[in-house]
Amino acid sequence: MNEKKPINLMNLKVNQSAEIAFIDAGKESAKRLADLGLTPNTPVKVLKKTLFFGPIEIEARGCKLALGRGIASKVWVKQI
Amino acid sequence: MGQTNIKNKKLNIVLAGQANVGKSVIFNYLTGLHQHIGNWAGKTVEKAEGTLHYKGYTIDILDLPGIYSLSTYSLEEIISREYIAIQKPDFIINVVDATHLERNLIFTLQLLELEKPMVMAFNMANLLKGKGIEIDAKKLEKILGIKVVSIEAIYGRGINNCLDEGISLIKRKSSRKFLKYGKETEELIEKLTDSLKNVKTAYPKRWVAIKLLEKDKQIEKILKEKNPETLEEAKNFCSELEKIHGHDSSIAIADERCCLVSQIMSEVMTTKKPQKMGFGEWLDNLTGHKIWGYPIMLAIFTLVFIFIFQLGNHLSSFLEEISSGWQISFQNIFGISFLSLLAWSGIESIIALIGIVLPYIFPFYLCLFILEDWGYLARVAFLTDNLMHKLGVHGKACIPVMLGFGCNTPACLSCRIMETQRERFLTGFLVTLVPCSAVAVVILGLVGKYIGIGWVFGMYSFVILISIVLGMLASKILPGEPTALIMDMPDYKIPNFKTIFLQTWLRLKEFIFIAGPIIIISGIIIQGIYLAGWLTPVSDFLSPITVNWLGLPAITGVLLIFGIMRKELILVMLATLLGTTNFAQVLTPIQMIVLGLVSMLYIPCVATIAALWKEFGWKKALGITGFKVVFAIIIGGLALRLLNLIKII
Repeated sequence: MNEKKPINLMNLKVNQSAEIAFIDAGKESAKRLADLGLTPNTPVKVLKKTLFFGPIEIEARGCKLALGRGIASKVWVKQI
Repeated sequence: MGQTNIKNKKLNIVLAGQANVGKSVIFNYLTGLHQHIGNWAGKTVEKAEGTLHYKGYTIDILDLPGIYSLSTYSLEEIISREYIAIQKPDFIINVVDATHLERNLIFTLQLLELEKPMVMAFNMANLLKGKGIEIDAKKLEKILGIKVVSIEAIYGRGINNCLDEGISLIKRKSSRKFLKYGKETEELIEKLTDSLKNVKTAYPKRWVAIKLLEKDKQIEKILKEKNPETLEEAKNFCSELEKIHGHDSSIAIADERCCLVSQIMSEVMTTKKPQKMGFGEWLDNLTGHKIWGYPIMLAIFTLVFIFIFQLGNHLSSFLEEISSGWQISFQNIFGISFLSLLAWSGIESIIALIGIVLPYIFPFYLCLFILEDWGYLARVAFLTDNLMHKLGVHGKACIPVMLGFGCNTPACLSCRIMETQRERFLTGFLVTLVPCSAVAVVILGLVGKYIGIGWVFGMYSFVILISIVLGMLASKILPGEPTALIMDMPDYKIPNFKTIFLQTWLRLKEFIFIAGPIIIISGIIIQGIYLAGWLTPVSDFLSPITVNWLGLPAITGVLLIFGIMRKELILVMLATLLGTTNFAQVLTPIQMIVLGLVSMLYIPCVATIAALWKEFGWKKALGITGFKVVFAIIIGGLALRLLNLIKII
């Protein structure tokens, strides 16, 4: 079975689930996301998207989080 | 009688937990009105303290800010960890939301690393069933090595048990077992802890070791001065850890912690089939919908504003009725002299203060806290993030901005919800551009009454547009990067009215303390100027601006000075000084629009300036004030020339 290439979190559709591959953000932002439980291999699910590339809402570790577009597009995920 | 030395003892405890776990509900339950909200010395971070008498103890409780970690991301986090390490509270109550246990545990593990006596308040366990989750609290207790007390904070159940367990911790010094990370990481931590044996810090050695592996700047700085060789060793360990993990060592540690939490969760949690979608979830889907969310938001805010203005109108006319005869009674007793007139203006200011606070600010806060406690404000921040981002701030900023439509002063104080200093200031600047309810009185009383409601909407749209442009410019000019929106989305829940009323009361108190003295003193000063007969010289002095540039009657110079105190005085004084309430006789429609525009944009009122001063320092407060005065004059003059040119009215 070949591993799928990581895609951007913003490219997931609503209700689609995936697993975090890596976070391509600065140290501060990556740490902040890690504090909220968004570390590599964490399963995430997109719950809501907004118009005009606004923020998205995701579910991870049983919690709902809103992420601004800027930070969300730095999260890369593998589809399961 | 061995107990007497423990009894009568003062205890010092802290409440620690992430945001939205019910921490403030517990704090309010325990302290009621015996609480004090202030700032941490020299910092714009809120500090909530309170006192409680319980079973012979006097317990000082500190409600730490809701944070997600003990790193150095925000001032709140640094303050919290310093407090716990240096002030050494007798015990910590770690409040967790049982329905979001997994993420809460990430923080709990970090608290445990500070090695202080701790009890877990396991809140909202009653909601687990509805979510199809079962958690074995006994097992959790065993794994963590601390007492886990089930509580239902909103009903006040179980909170006293938490205190009892905490107090019993003080009596018996328990030894704590450490939760171990993965093998390789654990080895590095232990080696580093060993090297730190002779280093003196307020923090536990193991915690310092972990923080060094996380490349914590503050801890690195402490070591750099005292033990540079240990810091060197730590750096080698970091690169070793990075080799094993393939990520930055700070992420590697966070990752290890998350793994540990996942392990714990798999042992204590069993999930059954999730039940069918509840009402809360349905509401969440609707109010956060990418299309329907917006009309719903508009409808909710329209309702809130109608409610506030209706209630405000009734209450303020009621207050006016009560106090209408007071001036005459006052003059009957004290006569009419320079001093008695000054004294009366002081009393008038107090009445005016009540007249703003009770009818407008009180219902505004009430509605805001209801929306917040219910969980709706987070949805608003989510929906407006896109727009606010253009202004250099993220979605959370819309909360102070909305508050600004009611009154700028509390809105400036509420900028503290933003994460960084840059965003607090930008939000504060945006807030001062928002026309408050007092300005609405002026605009409606002048433009709305004599020209038409269409012009009122036009002027509001114009000012909002200008605010957006100014916000965009300010965010470009101010150095620093905008912070991304990373926000917890709480579930909808039934608002807890005790918490809401307490919050409202505490905010009102804060407002009265900041704005009250300034409103009263400036009221007396301006009355003094008036009585001394200096008003005419003042309006003559200002006439190059008011008459020549803005095309207004000279008397408006005085109005605009009165307006610094409270914006609605512009209208009140216009009637007093001109001796008529039919403003159409004294002002042309164009003059009304120019005066209205200037009133909307010029100087924030004194109470707001005081709030700006408190939050951002006098330089920035004066900077904003000066800018707004100049800007309003320019816009007013340009509007006059444009309106004369196009002859639309």
